[in-house]
Amino acid sequence: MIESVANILPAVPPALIYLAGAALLPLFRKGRTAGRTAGTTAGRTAAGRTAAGTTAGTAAGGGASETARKIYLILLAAVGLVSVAVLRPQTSWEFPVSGFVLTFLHVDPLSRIMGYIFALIGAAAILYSLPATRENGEVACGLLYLGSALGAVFAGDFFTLYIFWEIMAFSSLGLIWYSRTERATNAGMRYILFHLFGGCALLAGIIINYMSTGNIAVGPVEPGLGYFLLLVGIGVNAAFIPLHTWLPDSYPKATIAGAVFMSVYTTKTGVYVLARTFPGVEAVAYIGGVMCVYGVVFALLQNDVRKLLSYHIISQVGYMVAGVGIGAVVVHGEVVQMGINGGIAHVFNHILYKALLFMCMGAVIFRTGKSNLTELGGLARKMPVTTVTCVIAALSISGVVGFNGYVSKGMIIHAAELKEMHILALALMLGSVGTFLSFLKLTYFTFFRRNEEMERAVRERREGGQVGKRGRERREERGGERREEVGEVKEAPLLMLIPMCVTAFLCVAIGVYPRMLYEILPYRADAFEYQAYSVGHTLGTIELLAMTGFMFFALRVLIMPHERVTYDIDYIYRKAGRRFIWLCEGPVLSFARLLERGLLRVVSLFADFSKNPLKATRMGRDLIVLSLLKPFVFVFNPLFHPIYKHYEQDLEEMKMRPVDEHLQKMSIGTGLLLVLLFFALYLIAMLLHRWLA
Amino acid sequence: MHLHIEAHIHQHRFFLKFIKSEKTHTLKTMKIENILKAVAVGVVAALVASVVLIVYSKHFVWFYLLYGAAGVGFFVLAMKILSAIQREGKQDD
Repeated sequence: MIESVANILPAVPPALIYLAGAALLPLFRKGRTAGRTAGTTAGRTAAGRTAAGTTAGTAAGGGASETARKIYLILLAAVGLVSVAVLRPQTSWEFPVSGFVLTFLHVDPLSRIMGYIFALIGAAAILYSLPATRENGEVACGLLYLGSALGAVFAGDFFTLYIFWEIMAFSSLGLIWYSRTERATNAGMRYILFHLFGGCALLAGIIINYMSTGNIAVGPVEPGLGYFLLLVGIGVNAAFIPLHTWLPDSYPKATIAGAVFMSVYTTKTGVYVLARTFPGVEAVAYIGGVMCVYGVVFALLQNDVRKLLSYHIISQVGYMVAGVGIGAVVVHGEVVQMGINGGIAHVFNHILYKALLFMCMGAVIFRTGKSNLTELGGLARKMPVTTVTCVIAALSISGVVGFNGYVSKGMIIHAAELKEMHILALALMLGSVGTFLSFLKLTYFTFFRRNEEMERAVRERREGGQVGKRGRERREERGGERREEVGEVKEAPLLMLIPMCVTAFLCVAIGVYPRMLYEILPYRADAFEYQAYSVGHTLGTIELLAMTGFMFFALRVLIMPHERVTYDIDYIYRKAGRRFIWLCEGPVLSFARLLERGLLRVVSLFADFSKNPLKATRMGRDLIVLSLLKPFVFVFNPLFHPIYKHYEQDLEEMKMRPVDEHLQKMSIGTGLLLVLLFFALYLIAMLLHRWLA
Repeated sequence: MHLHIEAHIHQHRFFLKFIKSEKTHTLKTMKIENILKAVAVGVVAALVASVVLIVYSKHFVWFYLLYGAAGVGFFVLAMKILSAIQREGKQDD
């Protein structure tokens, strides 16, 4: 069926559909903006959110437009999905610009699988955002971000890629700033500074690579400065250590729906470009290994649920980067692209479960207004669907047998073993242990641990009439801030649950039937070389994770979350940034002022000279003579003192005279002599320069 | 009248006591049920594990168990070391 539809419909770059969709969105005004002041992120109150979420469509005159807007967004998501589904391998939409050919639609198996998963999760995120967003601008930013990510994936040349790369950075900035909190604004500034640096490095790398090869097609790069700059530029987006700090800094501060969008596109586009430009580079594989362990260690220290997930993005991207770096391996004497396949399969799977995790935690924040593990707990009975989907996502990301993460993670580790990169394989397995440990912590402390506050609230409610009074008292204690009690928490809205359930289903489906994924991998034939459910591999994974689970419950007290500030490398950046600002405001500014003063003096000297050249020349002469005579006056006083006195008096006299007073005119001959003298000096300087050269 | 009220209070007290004892009884039953469930799940899990261990004994690589334990130890140690350079307060202050 898809084949026949593909033959009928013209191939359109999917990016255009989403960009046009974002442009038309303002025509569908939101029904109500009452909740705008309440904020959009974790900081906003649950009561304000509920008011905005549930009553948005009920306001008079706003209901119809709200429904129209929702229908429009659902249709847009569907059209976007179809536009990607019907794409067949091709290179079209080419435009010659100043001697270059810019390609907007280059479809091959690698870009196609990225397009599939981007569009799929884009549709899920759009659906999820319907009850979670209250401003059209936020959704428009999400659509621009999604469109530009698809534009980057289907770009056939580096310049088109760069254009979409930058649009991605700025549109995602909107998703952070729409939180409308001071922390989000500051984090957004740091985010865009990092991405501008990465963008500059990427552009410089592209230009240098073009100058040395004359090629702008997105593909492997020749070693050199351009190679290094491209790696840095891509490394910023792929969150290489130590270029990763923007990620855990900004993602937790994005809006609830914005974080779902952000968890998908920036880093994965980085991995995709890395797979195109640096496949099979061993150094890249080891960078991935470091990312994998580093991300997990810091994730375990986090208390904010979305910050914990953000560090896990770094860790999981580490697997993908490692897969890309491993590249091809030899199996039974044949070259098999198992590393690339594993990396891209992990991109696909990771997008599914990470978006699901952000959706689940978004739902928790949406309903409770809390984002710290120390404040959460006991939500399993209140939010059963969210709990089940979150557990599925947690098992998937941990690589538990039967879930999608197990398939792709195993493929990468197996590729590392086949390529005899044993340290890397061990690092990746260590990452698995840490990931499982971390997600046991997340699910346990969010959903299953006893929450005394919630139990107390429920008890009070059951007691009847007393509750209202106590509840009112508690609200008053909190300075009048309206906050929904944890005991009153209910399941997330249906429009949030639908994408969560679909994504959870896909996580299980791919885990149980990995062939579904193998069919669309970039090297389809090579994918079947890997047996995900071989007995040895399955039992090994079970052993590893069972021991991790046992150790978690044994050492649970040591892994308890704490409300503390964790220092990462960004501590150094922030310190360095403050020093830089001090340097700019202190010594550099003083030097600039000094320079300015000096220049002003020189300018005023020239101005005085131009007003009365003769006076200025005489003063200059007097000054020179005086400075030359001064040392001699002390030694040979009787001889030089009269001459010195004469020039001193002359200088005083000249100073007393007004600037515009005409003095005795200089003869033409003297002027000519001076000009000739100047030219002679110039010639001497030039000759000396030549002679020295 | 007075006797009638006293009888009523007595009846009420008896009723409350009855409810309390019923409640305690229900809680006890629930606890026993939960324990039985846990035991059943434990027995089934142990049986499955034993069967798998016996049937696939040659596929078992004890290295993974040890590596899992060592891995958890590594992360706990890393957390302890890194928590030494943490400071009290809200994250992202």
